[in-house]
Amino acid sequence: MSEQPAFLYIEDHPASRQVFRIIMSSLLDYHNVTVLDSSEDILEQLHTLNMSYDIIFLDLNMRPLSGYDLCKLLRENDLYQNARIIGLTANTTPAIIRKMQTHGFDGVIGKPISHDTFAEQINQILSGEDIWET
Amino acid sequence: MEKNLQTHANTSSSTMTLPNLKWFVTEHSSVTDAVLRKQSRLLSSILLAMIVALIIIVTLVLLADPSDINDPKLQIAIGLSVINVLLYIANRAGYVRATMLIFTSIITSVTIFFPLLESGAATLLPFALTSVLIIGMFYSTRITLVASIIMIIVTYIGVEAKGSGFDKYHEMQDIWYFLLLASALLITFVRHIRAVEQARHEELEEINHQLNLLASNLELRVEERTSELHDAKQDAEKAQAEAEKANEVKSQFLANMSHELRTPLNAILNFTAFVADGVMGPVNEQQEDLLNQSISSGKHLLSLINDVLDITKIEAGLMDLFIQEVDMGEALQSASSIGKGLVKDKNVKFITEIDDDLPITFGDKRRLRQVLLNLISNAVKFTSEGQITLKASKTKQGIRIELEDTGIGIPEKDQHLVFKSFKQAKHDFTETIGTGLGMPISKYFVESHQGTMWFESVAGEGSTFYVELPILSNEEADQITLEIQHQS
Repeated sequence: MSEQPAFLYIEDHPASRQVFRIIMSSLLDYHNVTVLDSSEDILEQLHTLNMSYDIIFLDLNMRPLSGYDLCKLLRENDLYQNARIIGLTANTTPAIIRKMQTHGFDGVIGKPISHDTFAEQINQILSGEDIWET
Repeated sequence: MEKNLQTHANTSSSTMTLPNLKWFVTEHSSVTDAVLRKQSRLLSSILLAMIVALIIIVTLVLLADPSDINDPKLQIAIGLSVINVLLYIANRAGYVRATMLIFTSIITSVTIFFPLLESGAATLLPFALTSVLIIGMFYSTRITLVASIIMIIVTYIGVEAKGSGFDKYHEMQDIWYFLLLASALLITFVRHIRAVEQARHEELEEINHQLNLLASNLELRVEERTSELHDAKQDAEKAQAEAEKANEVKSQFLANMSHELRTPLNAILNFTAFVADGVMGPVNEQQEDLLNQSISSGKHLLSLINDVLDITKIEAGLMDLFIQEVDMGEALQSASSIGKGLVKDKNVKFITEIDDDLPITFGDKRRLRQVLLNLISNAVKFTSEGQITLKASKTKQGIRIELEDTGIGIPEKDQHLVFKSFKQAKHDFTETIGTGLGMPISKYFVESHQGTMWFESVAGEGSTFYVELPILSNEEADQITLEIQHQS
């Protein structure tokens, strides 16, 4: 159990969180998964958790802080220096991808998350590859 | 200028209605030049005076002694008055310059030659002076000067030839006549010069005034035009800003829409898939079948939403490409495996003939894949039996892709609709496809990659769709994106 990679997912849409939880636990058998439902007071939330993560998945359309803001904020924190930060979004337009690249993301995975390829994608990300799924 | 003419016409009409002495010296209406008008009036005055004087003299002489009619001097005087009357008429008719020339010539000739014919060469000098003065009235100082010199020479020669010098002048009363005449002429001359100067001055003033008017008009026009241009520029800038704003709003709306529509649909698809896959516990075959149908309907809905959003973006000029390295061979292989999956339940063979040495190009991987999937799913949809062949080969220009099917084909009358967007969606042909947007979208992406797309089809026999894509470098592909963005 302790060798399992740690995941963090910040997403304000309940159904999307539910989908993510089911995929991670039921399909992929990852259990070290933290899911937060809001970007509000995110630093306090993370401070309370006080954990480092292997992969941080971020929704982009969130309030008050967007995924881009969150990514920048996380990059400034030593605790998440080695974390891979991946965006999860239903809308992967070139403009959005360019914006993500300038905000420090390591990749993007389009929604809906594919049950068939997600496991492979996680492995790729963990091995250090950038994933820009378009 | 028009105002000027108006005033002039008024004065002439008032002199016509009020017959006073002025009428006799009024110039012809065609004479508009201020100096010429003055000259014409002066000419009329002199001619009239001479005519009157000559008539009085001739009358008086004839009254005293009617036999004098044979005197050549009197005959010349009568001839002169007739000529003067003709000159007067010519002057009043508007031939001012000609009249001036003839009059001065006659006066000069008479004053020079008439005394010479007579014994009294002594009167030559005063007469010569008279003609110089008359020339001076009508012509420039320079001409007058030249005339004076000629006169002096002629007089000198004449006096010498006759052998009777000025000192021999003895008839004293002639001097008085001459002085009287000379003073009268001198006064007229000076007054005339002043009048001409004033006329010139007035004309200059008028010209100056007109010029000022013109200049201020011009200034006004320039100001007007400048402000018009300024307004137009502001309007254009405003319109552009509004258009940009509208585009931005549209773009934002599209982004929101695609997010809002897809997020719940994605959740539905995922949850349904969990259940269908048995993640939530065992499902029976019937349940699994229905769940899979839900999934495929959901996927269809998602692709329709994507198509509508794509075409809206294209038509709004907001389409954007994400350029990266594209292995077309790999894209074709993965598309063909999807195609094989699609014909699994049909009596259709999916054949692939893809060259191994397809070059690497740059472009939008997702969009190029979308084109291939569109073509394949279309072919599968319209082919109930036979075969679908996907061919891809390297050409001189790039990559050529052919997708041949043995489906229903496209009737000739509908062929022009294939690449048109929803305007034609209610047509029979497109009805079966769904939105009918797949082909126009595909063509757009092929063309935005500098490629070409076309098809050949025979109703009842099948269709072949062709796509030719050039090999683009990273820079070339980036240039395309810039151009697309520039258009929007």
